[in-house]
Amino acid sequence: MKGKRHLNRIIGLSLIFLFIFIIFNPSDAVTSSSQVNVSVQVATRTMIDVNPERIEWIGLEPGEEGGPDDVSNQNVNAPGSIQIENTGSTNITKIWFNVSQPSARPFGSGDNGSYDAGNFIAIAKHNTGQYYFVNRLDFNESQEIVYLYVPGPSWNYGRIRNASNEYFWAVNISANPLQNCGNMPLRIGLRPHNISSTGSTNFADGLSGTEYQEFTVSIMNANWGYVDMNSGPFANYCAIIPRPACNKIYIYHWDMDAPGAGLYCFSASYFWDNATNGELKPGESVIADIVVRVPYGVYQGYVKEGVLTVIAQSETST
Amino acid sequence: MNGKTLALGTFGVLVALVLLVTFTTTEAVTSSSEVNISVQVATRTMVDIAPESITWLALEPGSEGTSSDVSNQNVNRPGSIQIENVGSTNITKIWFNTTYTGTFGDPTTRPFGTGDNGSYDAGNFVVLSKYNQNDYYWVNRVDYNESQELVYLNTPTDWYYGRIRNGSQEYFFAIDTSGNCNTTTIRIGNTPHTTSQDGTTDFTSGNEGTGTNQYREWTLTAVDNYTGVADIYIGEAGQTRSYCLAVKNCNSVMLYKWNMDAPGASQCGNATYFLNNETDGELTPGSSVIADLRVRVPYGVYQGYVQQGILTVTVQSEESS
Repeated sequence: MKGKRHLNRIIGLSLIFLFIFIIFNPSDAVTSSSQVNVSVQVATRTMIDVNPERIEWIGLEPGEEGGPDDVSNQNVNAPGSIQIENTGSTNITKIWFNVSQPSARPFGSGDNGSYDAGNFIAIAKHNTGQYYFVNRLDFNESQEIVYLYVPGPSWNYGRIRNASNEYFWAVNISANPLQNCGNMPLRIGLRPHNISSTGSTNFADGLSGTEYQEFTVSIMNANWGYVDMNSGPFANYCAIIPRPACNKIYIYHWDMDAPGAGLYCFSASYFWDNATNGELKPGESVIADIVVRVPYGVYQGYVKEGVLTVIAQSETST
Repeated sequence: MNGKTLALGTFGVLVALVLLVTFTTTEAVTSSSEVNISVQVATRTMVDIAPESITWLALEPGSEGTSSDVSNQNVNRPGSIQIENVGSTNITKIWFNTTYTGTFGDPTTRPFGTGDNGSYDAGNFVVLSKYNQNDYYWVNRVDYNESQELVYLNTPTDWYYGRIRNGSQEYFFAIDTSGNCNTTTIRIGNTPHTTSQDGTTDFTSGNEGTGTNQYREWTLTAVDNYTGVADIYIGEAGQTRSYCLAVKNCNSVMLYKWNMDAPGASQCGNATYFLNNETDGELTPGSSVIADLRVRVPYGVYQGYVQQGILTVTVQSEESS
């Protein structure tokens, strides 16, 4: 009995000590872990984000080039520039542009809605200052130009309107009549016409190199003739002329969707080309500087809003 | 049996792998995004005139220089100018003025008899027609009274006289100096004097009429204290040309058609705009109009290059800023 009582006392004291130990002894964290593996597969997507969505040039004079100072929103780091960001998941290999254009000759219409601001756009790689039209469309003249000389009535002529500088061009539509505006000479004046200078207007035979640069319009297909212009005032441009009408001229540099670009004409260029620039990786961006070149003879006010389309391409397995 | 199944499975995986490798290709994938481009063009009235200069060569005294006399034949229309609306507003009016020798109202500045081709001004030779109409009129032709007596003329006493020199044709005029010069009377011969005929030389009362060798008489309307203007017709019946004639100090005359800045143009119905929106419509931006030019060289001009003249083209829009 006494032994049992002693045992109980020992047990009681032990419990008291245990209680005190629990109360006064700080508890250590005891951890246990297990892992969950998180796996994400990103879909293969070629996407770009172009900002700002809209650029507005205001108060431009006829014949003026609208630069950064003329952009209405000055609350951006580089007015007149766009940021093209790879927001997709693939490496972008090529970037190029195309622009909206007027459907018919706007000059003389007296309607600013007939002009298209997209046709005024010239683009340079960021901070290079080397601007090229994306794709400039000009029509032949609707009225006789008295101070111009072309060798005969079978010549169509017009001008490439580069803001205040207008370069006359002339094509001999009867040089090769069976080929409907193909394999014929295209002459582009060397000096521009503007309000203070007549410029190069003499397209008589034998003056190539002094008055004009002569090219041969090669046949691309039933619809187009083309010239790879590697010299003259529009060096580094491709020129295309519709067949058989021979009544307008496109000069393009950045529009790789234009007829013949990269297939027949190699003066056109990608704005971004992995062969020379590397690939534009997801999360990277590239900047394009934009100016607008307003020709003479554009009706006052807002011309029809133009659209610049940026196209990006990646070479990705599917 | 288990080994055979394993072999078939392995073969199946290999085939699938080969097919995957065979039919999986690298394709170009494109994506596009758009930026809207807006351009506001300022309100500007501007005009471009080309060519910058026109030279007529080797013209005879008393001849009319035409397109075939223009030195630069390497243009589509020698002797014509293109007036292009390079601004951003519709042009409603176009008119001209030309330089001339001396000072209107001061006959001592007359070039004839100086023996100096630099005293003559080619601007005073310019006549102008609308495109392809072959209907030429002076922009503004200035002539002074004679410095020397003309013995074959018959004028009332104390009348000043001179001639309007129209190439080889010279129309004599006589001005009554007895009253105010801005409202006086002027008589102009119907028949021109040339190297082969005297023309109208009798300016005495009684010879007025519309026939050959007669004169027409006009009374001036005051423009200012020194200048008067009249709507006139000049030439023989059936061949008349309508003009405005301004007379200053009774000693100088300005015959004009296309110069709407000339003295009295607003009072003279025969002056006209080269382009008038009321009859021609507006000249829209990018449009152009053509003017055909000729020069009429009077007799008695010293050889060589006369002083270069200036033809000024003035345009007006109703939206100018």
